[in-house]
Amino acid sequence: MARKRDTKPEERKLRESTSVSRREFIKRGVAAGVGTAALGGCASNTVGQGKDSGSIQWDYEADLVVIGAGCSGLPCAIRARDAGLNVLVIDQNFDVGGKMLHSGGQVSLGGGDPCQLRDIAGQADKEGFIKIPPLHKPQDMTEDTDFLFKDITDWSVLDVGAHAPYRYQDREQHRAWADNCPATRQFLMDNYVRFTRIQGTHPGGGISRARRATSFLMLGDKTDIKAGTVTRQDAGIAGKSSSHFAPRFMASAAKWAAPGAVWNGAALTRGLEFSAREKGVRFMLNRRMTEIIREQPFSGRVLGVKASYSPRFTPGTQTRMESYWQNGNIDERRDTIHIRAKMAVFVGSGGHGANPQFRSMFYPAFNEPAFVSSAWALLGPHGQDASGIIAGMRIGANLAGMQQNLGTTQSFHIPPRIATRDSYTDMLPGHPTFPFRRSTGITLGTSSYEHLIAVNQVGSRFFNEMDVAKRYGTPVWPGGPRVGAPKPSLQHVQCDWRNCSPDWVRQMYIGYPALDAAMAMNEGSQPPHYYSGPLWAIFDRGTVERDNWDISSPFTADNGYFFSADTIEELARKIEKGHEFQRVPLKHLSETVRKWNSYVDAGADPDFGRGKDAPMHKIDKPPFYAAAICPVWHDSYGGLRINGKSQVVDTQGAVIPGLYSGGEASGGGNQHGLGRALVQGYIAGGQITKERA
Amino acid sequence: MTAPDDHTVQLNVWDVPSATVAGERFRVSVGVRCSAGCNLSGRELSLLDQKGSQVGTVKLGRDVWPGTEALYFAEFEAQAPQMAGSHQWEVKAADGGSELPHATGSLPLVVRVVSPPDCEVAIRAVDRETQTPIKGARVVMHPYRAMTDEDGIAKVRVARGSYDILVSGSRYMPVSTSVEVTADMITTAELDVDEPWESPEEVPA
Repeated sequence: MARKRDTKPEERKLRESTSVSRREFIKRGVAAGVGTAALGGCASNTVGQGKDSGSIQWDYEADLVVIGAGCSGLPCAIRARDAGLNVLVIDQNFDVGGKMLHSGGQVSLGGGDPCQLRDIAGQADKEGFIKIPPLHKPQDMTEDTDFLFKDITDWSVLDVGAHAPYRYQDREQHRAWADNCPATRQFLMDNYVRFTRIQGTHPGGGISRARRATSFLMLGDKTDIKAGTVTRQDAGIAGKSSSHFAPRFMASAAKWAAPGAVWNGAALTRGLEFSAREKGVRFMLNRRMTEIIREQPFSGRVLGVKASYSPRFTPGTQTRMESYWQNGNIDERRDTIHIRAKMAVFVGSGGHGANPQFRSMFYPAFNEPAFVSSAWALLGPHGQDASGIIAGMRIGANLAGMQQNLGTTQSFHIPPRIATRDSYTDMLPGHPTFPFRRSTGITLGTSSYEHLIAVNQVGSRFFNEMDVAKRYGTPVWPGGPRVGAPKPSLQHVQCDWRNCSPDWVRQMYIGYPALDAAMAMNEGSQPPHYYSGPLWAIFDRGTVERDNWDISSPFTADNGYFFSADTIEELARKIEKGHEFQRVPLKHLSETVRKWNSYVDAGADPDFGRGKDAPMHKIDKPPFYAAAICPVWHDSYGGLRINGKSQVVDTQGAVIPGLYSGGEASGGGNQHGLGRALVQGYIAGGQITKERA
Repeated sequence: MTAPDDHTVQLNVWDVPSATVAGERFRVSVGVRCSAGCNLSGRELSLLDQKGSQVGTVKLGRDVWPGTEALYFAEFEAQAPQMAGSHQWEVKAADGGSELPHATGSLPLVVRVVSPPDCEVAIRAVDRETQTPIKGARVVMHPYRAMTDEDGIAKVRVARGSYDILVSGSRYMPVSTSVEVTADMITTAELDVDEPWESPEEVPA
């Protein structure tokens, strides 16, 4: 048998691609010069770089260099550009948006932000798209920034797993975050982002008020950001297709905005991207930052970055993937370039969820390379790879919030989607990166786990399947016992010891450690890494018929993440042969299925307690199926330590001059989603501008 | 005895009733696959009861089971034992019926025999919020099983006794309740929708 993989195939592909690019560069020659000229002329300054660098030939320069065109980088870039700065955004991927592009586009801010005020007043948006009345009473949205700050640092709030989501927030950082929420909401709306009615709160956005609004566009005859419209084709067709514009189907926002409104992160990303390009922000895509350059290794000002060419090619071709919009792009193809940042470098390169070495600092079992970060296909081999954090560490940056990954259900978990490696999202054919995953996956409710057994890499069950994909609710508006708070909505008392008294914890605690069981060492775990190995949902034709599972294309594919066979024995052989990370035989699978069927006959499961919570069903009707269950690392908490101005600080607490960060590259807060990153980018853009003044 | 060059065979048995009334006839499906994917049509299978007595024979059909590559199948009809309880029967695939040597194969199956039922339990499955009936919900009162009809109703004939009623429907969270069945009865199971993961309440972002 061929040696099973410890690394990702894309990495090999990238090395091949890089060698091609070098030849192409020599052939094409002039490509780099176009971009350089556009930025105001080639900079050839020689700069002292400490003992390692000697002198540097700068290939480009800009006032502000933003690393990462995502949800912190874009607002930073736009705000700085608004103030007249020359801004260059580089991104390792071929398109703009980072993880924001595949997100839900839900933004919890608050503190009396313009969406809250609009809904409190019962008004529509200025374009008149919103046709439904506000979803919350005025008092449910009435607050100021002091109240918001207290809410998102409320030490007393627990989730039902008894974790404290707000207790360990960095105080200076969150004071600034709360203070800047209203202005950031307005800034977003001023840059082509349309928001629905306020509707609840997003995880990590506080428990005491409703603060979430979702970005949307209206279906129209053409995709026109200025007009606020998107075509049905670009919005995607449910169950059939997504698009280059939106990697995930944009579903109806009729309940929160108006009939004909569609929502998700594409509405947010494309609005900000359009605005940035329109205002003159320049983008150098396919460009991965590999080093932040400082005057001295651990002292002095940050001068710029070193970046390598990181193109992505459509699988099986030499066709480079290109961004949705290209105006403002600099097509630079040299292997390595140096970019001078005259004023600042902003690190918005995302988190560490795709770096097994880095993430296993927090949870050693996640050294297993079989499992990826969310947006794996979308972002490619360098997405969420901790590169910004590592580069900051190399020049002396401190870290913060490193414990905040733990106990946060938005961080690592088992999504209820099987048969795809990219299990967090349901991308459909139509986006250029779909060929990397090849299957959308079968999206199950947690209830559908009734119809399968879940086994580890040796074919043994590891937990009650009904709990495998359960995630408990997080403490957000309207709160209440379901999410761990004794009192709901306006009755919640901030910073009250009763919210976390032992008696209350005993009442409300619910734990689902299925992930921990799934990633435990087993008979197939071998030194030195002791990988837990892949996980499999095993089911049969009876399952498909009984629960109406669609196992056709594009939900499944012949991609090593879905198999069918005439017998269980054959199924085990196919998995071993066909899955890239199945390193050992599933030697117990036949016996596990036989034993399971005997438990169904007996009406009880002595191993994991099935049969009390849901019907049990035999797995005996051919053909038999195996679909990969892929834990995912979604949110990254923990990263570069930043202060309230989004400045990166070192281990002595001193600001590193010229270095800023936000979003998942930074640490100190564990708000899920986009709100944290957007505000931090907004703060940084303003602070950098102030420095010039 | 398996000769070195013999192809092995794997048997599957499915559609075994979860409960069969003593003495009643029942059906089971049997599939056989050769390790090399040989055509096994015409090959004889035998069904043996708990005493090892042959209670039926059948030959594999010409077609493979839908969705499989080489699983040849047949259906047995047999009479359940008169004594209530779980009986271990066996399906055997004898050598022969093919030009190539094939090892014999066998597979046990459990025939659960129950006393004639005394009572009828009607379970009505409804959506808790809308109170609309749920068609196709699974109802288990071990060892009895049923599925709800267009009106969301499943009727299960059971022996008197204590049961846990488990009800689940596609995209509904399952529910369970304990009952003591002493006479015909009707019960309603209210099910909550299993909110899709992408629900507006907690969308990945």
